[in-house]
Amino acid sequence: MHPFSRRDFLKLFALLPISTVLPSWIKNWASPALISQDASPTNIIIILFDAMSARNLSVYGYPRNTSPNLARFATRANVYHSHNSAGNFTVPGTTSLLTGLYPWTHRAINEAGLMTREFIGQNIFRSFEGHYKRLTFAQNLFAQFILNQFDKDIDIHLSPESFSLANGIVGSRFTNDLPAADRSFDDFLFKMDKESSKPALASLIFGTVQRLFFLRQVAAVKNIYSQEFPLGLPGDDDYPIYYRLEDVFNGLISVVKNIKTPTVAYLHLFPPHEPYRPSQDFFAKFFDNYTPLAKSEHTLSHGISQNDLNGHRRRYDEYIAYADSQFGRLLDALEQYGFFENSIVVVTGDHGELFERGEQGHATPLLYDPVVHVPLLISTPGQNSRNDIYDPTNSIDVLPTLLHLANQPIPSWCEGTLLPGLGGDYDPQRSTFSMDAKLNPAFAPFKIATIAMRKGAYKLIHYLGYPGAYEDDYELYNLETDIEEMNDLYASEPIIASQMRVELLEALNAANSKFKS
Amino acid sequence: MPMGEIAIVLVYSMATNFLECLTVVFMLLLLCVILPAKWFKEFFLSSGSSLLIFGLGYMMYISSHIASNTDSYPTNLVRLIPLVGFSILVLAFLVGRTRLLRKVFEQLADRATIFSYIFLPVGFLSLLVVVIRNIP
Repeated sequence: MHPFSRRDFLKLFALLPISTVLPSWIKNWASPALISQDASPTNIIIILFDAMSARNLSVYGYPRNTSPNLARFATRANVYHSHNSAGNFTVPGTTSLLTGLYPWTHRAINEAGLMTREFIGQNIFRSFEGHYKRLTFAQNLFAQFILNQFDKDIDIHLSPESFSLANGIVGSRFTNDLPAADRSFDDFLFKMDKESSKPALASLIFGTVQRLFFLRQVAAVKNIYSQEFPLGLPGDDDYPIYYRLEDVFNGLISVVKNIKTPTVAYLHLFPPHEPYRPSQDFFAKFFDNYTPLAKSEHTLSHGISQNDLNGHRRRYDEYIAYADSQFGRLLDALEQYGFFENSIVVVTGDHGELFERGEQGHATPLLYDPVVHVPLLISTPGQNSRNDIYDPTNSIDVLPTLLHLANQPIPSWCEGTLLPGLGGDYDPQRSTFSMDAKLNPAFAPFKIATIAMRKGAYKLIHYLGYPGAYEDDYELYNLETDIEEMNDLYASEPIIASQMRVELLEALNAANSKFKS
Repeated sequence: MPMGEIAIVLVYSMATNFLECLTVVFMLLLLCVILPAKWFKEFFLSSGSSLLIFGLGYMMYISSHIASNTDSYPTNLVRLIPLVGFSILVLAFLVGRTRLLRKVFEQLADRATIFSYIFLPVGFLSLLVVVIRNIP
């Protein structure tokens, strides 16, 4: 055998430097998108306001001046005027935004529901794996449960009670088993039930003692801030967290200031979700002459009077204005630290809020425009002008668009398309869907649900399986001429109605087909 | 919820309840040590089980009250805790001194023992699972 000579050693030694660059060559060859990513790292900051309806924002033409700071942000952003959420409450809305999948695919359709295990890897954070740091914060526990499913794909997962004044959250202390601990403690063992159909806390001793300590903490904090918050401290009716938006935004400003480029940050803020609790500065801000259009009561509504609805709407508007004022501070910080030069900043909502037809809230079978029409404003690095886009878009489009803007590959499983103005085609005739199926079992065909389909100017609403009324009914509206959805065109526009009904039922059947076997 | 998730919630629940049981037993033993033997230790089974039943009943009352009132601190309810606690202690003492009641509670405790054969190992195992799942 030929002996290993000094010459051979020198040959090998000469090859050594190549081995240091070879892996990166191979990596770049396999994934060309990453080359440009390295060349110009871009942060992605998604700011989501829970239950923020575009219909109540002055930036979208609402008569009350609820969102001057969003309007300021809009001067350097793409503003989507017909953007709908795929779901009408946090679970489906948030999941669709973060996965690019419709609720009938990811199946997070029930209150406090989760997405199907097989789709867990299909999320925005996994899609940005590699070069990007992934940071999340969700004040809404339902959103936190969804984020917990993506926990392995998140580098920094801030707990929901971060920046709060008082909280009784227990699960987040179990950082190594967050999903299970959150579910067990905060959604079961230590969960309070305001409706109180259950006699006691599931954890009788620890739960009761912990609750007493928490209530004491809340009483002390409320005492301090009773003047500042006439309707009580902002918080969550379902979970024990109380906060001031000033503190939350201070915390977020400090988090954002310290992020390491490139980072994908998802910041899910609870306001302006109910309970609407504006601070003193915004309380009674909208005692004005504005009178919303009165609409006849819907059979599936809770029958709330128009006066009460107007009162709720006023509080909601004040709460939006309060949230917007704090958003203005974040905006200032983003400007000050130069984030608009190297970051994509997204502002959106997971669903809207309804104050009409006898209904208030969002977890309703009534999928009228205020429930599904959410804001979407996207500022790209260096953008300094406003771009208004009126084509119908959906929350499932955000994920592929962000991947495209960051030069990342768009996964084939994604059901959304690129947003027009940010790489996508202008297609006014594209069909998008929103749905409410919270009463339907997650792993069964849709038999009780409301599905809204937007196509061009028209919107078809299909009610399915509501016992006693609306077992198989349709409504059709032209949103360009009738944004208030007052004139049902289903009978008077039979051709359009028929075409849209066929398309909607085909999509529904396709979604249901996987359960037929 | 998938079966796996339900099982994990059950494991956390069993572990929590196991620790709660240990806390309660520890408190009973503490009472035995603190109070004179004639008051509590001699009738440990009947007095202890009656104390447990009345005490847990009162906890359920407090729990149901505060679970449905998210905002307000139940000042009056908390003020009464020492008084009700003392009353329950006296009641447990009287149970130990009354022959019929003593028998009833002893029989009850005797029959309830069967649950500990199931609950103790399951609780301990659950605690073990929770600890293992939380190892960094």
